[in-house]
Amino acid sequence: METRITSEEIIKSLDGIQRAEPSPFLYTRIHARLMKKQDNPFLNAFSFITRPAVAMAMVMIILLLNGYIMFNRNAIQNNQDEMGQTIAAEYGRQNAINPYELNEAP
Amino acid sequence: MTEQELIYRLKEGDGMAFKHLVESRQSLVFNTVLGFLQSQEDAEDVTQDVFIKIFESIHQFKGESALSTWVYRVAVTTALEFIRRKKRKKRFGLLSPLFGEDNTPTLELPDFHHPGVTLDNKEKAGMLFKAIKELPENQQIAFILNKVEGLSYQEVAEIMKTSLSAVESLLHRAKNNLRDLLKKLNNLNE
Repeated sequence: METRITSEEIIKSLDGIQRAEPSPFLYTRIHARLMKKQDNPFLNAFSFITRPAVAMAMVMIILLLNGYIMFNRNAIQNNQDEMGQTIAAEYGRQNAINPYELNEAP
Repeated sequence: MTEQELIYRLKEGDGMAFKHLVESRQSLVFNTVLGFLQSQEDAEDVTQDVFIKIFESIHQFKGESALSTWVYRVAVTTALEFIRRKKRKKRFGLLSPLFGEDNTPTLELPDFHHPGVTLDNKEKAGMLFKAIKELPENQQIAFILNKVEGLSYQEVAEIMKTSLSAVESLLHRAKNNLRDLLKKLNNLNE
């Protein structure tokens, strides 16, 4: 029972506690830190990039670019294949060397 | 200056409004943060962090709660983040020397004495603060806001975005846990 009272007393030791006050130069220090931050372009850029909206927008742009490049690459590849086949077909008809023809007398 | 006017001017980036905010809420922030960190130096640094955060994110404040409630939330979150960061650093403590880079001791500091506690209660409050550190985060928040900051259950509920009954339950559990912790910490059974 005595233990209970002692614990209770300890818990009640914060009754009537006064608020602690910070140093009187708090605002000056905050102001100085803000000024330092504003003067540092790297920090400014970093804080801009790490904003959730900016970060999400950048991710979306990268994904869209990625998709666009992938889609275009396939389209170019198909185009090139078609072109290659056409050229090959044309050249094949006109310039293809028949090894049997080489041995023939003119 | 009314609260609405203050918020409007803060959103406009008015330096005088920010100075007014710091001067009118500095003891609220410092005292709350001090309750969690139990170190005057750390509390000074974190108080500065809190106001810088407020300055940078005031545009996110939608006015759904009172400005002070939002300031309390930022203060509690920043203090808890600081503690988590410190704990993370401590986990790698085995590899670090006894003294930090600036020659400050990295070992556990002695009992914390809150400057607002009366002389008669100084020792008991020191023990209590030691035990508060061991409480789960939510119980710690409710207990500090209610006992150290002197806020009502309703105010604590608004800051924690929870119900009144949840705060009552948290405080009840916090007190029970504190009794057990105090027994363990100080061998009160003897």
